[in-house]
Amino acid sequence: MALITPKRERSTRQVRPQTQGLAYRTKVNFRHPATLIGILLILLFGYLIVAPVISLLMGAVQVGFGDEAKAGAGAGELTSYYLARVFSSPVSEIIFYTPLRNTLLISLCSIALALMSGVPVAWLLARTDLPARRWFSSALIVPYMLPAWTFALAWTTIFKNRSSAGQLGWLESLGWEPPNWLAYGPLPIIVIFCLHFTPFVILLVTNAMRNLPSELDEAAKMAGATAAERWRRITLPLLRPALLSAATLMFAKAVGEFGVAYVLGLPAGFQVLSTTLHQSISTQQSGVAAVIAAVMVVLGGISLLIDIRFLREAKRFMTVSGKSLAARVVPLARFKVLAFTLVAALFTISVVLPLGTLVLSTVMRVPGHFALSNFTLDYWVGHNLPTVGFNRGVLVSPETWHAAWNTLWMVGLAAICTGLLGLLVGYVVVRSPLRQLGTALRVITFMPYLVPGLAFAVAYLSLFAVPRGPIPALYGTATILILIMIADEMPFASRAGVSAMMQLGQEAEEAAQSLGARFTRRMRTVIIPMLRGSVASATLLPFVSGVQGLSLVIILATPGTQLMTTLSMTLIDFGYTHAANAVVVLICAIALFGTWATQRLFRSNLADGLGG
Amino acid sequence: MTIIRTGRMATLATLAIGALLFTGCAGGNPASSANPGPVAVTESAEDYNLDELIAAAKSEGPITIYDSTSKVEEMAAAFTKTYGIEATGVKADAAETIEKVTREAQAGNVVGDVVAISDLPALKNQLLPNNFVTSWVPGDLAEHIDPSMREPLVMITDPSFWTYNTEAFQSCPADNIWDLTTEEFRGKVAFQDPVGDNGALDWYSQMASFGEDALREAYQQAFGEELKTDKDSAAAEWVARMAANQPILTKSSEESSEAVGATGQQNPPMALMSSAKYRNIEEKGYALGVCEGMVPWVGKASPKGLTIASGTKSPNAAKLYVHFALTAEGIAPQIADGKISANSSITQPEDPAHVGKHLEQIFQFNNAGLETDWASREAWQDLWRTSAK
Repeated sequence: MALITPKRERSTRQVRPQTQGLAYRTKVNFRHPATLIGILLILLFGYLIVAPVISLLMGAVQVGFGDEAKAGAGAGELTSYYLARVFSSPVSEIIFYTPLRNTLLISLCSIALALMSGVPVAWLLARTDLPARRWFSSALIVPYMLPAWTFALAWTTIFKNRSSAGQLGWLESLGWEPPNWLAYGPLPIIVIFCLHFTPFVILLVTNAMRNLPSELDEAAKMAGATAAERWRRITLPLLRPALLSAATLMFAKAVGEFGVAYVLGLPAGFQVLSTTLHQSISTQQSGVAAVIAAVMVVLGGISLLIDIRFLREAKRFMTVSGKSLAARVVPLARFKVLAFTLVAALFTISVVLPLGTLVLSTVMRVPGHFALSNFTLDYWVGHNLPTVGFNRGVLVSPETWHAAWNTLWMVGLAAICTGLLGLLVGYVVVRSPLRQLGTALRVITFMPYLVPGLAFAVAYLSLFAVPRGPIPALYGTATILILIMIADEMPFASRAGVSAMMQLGQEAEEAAQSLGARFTRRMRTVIIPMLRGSVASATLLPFVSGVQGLSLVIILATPGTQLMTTLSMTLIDFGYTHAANAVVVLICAIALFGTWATQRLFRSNLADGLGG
Repeated sequence: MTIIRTGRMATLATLAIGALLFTGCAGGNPASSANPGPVAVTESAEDYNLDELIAAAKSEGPITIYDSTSKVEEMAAAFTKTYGIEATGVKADAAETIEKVTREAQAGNVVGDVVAISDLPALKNQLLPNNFVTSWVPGDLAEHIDPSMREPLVMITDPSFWTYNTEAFQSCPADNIWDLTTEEFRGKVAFQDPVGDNGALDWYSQMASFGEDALREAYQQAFGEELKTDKDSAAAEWVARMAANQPILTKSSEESSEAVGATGQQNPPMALMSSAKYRNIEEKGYALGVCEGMVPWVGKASPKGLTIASGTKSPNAAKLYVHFALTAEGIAPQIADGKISANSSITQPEDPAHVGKHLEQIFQFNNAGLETDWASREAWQDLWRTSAK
């Protein structure tokens, strides 16, 4: 009985009388462990994700405190005032439509660019004999470990010109003033997003490429298909889930990312949705903020629907059957040097330049002044610095170590929980006979990605400042930070879980089941070991993005729960750029350390998972 | 297929409704929650005795203070040292503080006992009317506090000055704020982006309410003719012209100070910047100078309110802190860099911007305008946005 798969069951449906079939189906469905887990997960995420999101969105149609006069209604009553202000007021064009167009421009361009640079690199890393590819497959992930806004700061350090006055930019001090279009606005934002997102593509696509069975390709080859044809008709369709996953994640990230557009857009008057959202939040217009947040949620929702639609088709392909292993390595022959140069160039642009700029800026007193006397290690290890608010070097200041420890344990714990929950979601989505359960879970776990971090944190604050049922008030504790990090990273984890489970054929688990292995044992001895690489990335990505994420925690962190990112923001507030940049370098170091530790913990080498 | 699809829609709909009900019960809507905390602080200062207050305060638990500056940690430590009552200072900006105070009050889970907040219009229109916080003026100090600063109580005002680069210029290149709207200063004035800065919006509103004559007179002085405008006020005209003059927008006052003060620049811009940024002369070697004699004002001062959370469990300790923050000893860390105490009997210490010298030429906020400021924020935002196009 337990062996009956949903597919077989469905095919026998017409034969049975309808009522009996329904009862029978329900019984079978509820016997499946995936169904029970699915229900529990829905309850959990209903609390952690759906409730805050809805309370946030309600702000768009409810009169907020102090807006009674403007809206002409009492606080808490329904109103269309905010909707009207955003969509059809004299400033709608400025606060909404133009930013919306800019947002779409930025996100679509950067996704296209990231795919164009990421997919070939992923192929080189996964399927060819590119020299040093193990090393590259780790090194090229580094841009993702840097907070995106630090790229923007590095960009400004190098390219800024006189139209924002102040310190000379590096290029300026070398005698060339970059034009405005290069220094600020859409172009640098797109380039930075592309650099920041390419690791996503490399991570997701390399993993998928490694799992591509080579039989199909070889069969086509024997049948006389050209390389281009095989790529278009076999490889690309098989890669579609990974590509779509990457594109959807990047889209939501590009829509929600605030720091980059803030740093580089402001001097050029270039607004995107996240910057208008920030303006509304910082001027206490929470109603307008809620409307804009809602639009961002809808945008992401649309991209998710497209994704689900394509994935439903892609479900026909199972790429990990457990039978055939790694694909054959393609020799690059005479293209080896060219390919190596290109990958090395990508590494230089996306890692060496930004990180180098950052590191250099922490050891130079005056930026851009390349004289030996201008170099110092004071900002790292000095004492009694003139910067009163933070008068010790970053490495010798107890505040840094406190923040670093907080970051490590909180983000680490959150990432492990997230990775395991993601796998469970994947299991439910792929295996539960109740398809609705899977769809609902996918939609729910994707939600946080659509909600800008700042708005999500505000919603958390309002919901969890109060005791609810058995759960005490969480504000001011580490728990609330960990919970929101888990919730916010579920999109990564659940997608990783789903795509991993989707590629895993049922045979292995069914074999174990027929030998009498119970669910927990099947998970432990069959599923998790087979998906070790995917579990590692499902834990790693949340860790890395949690370490460098800022908007999510800046409201919820209290002095006892200061994290590295909030510390660097505090330092930026003071204008202590040297120390702030040094902290960012440490953030990157923690992310790297975490990557290494995650790989150890799961006894899996990420470089292997990436095609070494 | 249809069956499956309807089923899915139904599941999703149920989920959505369930979640909606859930949040409804959970009190996503702030207004519906029953508020008040355990103790309400009495507002009057009639039967007030400092010694009794100190005695009562000492029997209470520790307190936490929200303030927009990290100096609060120093102040809290000094308070603990003086009175032996444990105090923790927490730096939180205005938006954050409002959110925290509101939620804490609703939850009856007060963390911040004393709330210092620079967004006075929000304090007056959001936090006070809902009884989340209470304004309390210590009776023995009331006479030294200007009546325009008692309702709600102002702790300090933060002066900002029109500033120029003393390396590139002998003296301030402008002597009238209307000069800044002319072609000569196109792209040469730095502002913290006013659209995201309540301080700037409130300043425009205050100028419209209380500075109309001064602005018109200054216009006459600058251009030799009377101001004719189709805008509601001279302030609105100035703001519109300023926005259209391609100012340099920055993310913070800190950035403005860099734009103006970094050395080695040719023709650097001017900016209106907080007196606290003059410490960068010492810390970072910037060349910053106050535009002496700027007409009609050499700068402006924005107030920071000081209130007590209505639901505090340590009302007397909180009151004692309020008192402490209005004494020379208590406020010392904040006024050392040029802030001005609301207690006028405190002598202004020397600071890099020489605030004491300019006290009379600063445009001071008036609490009487707080309702107007609050109501017109969007209008000023919109004026800036539409004029900047």
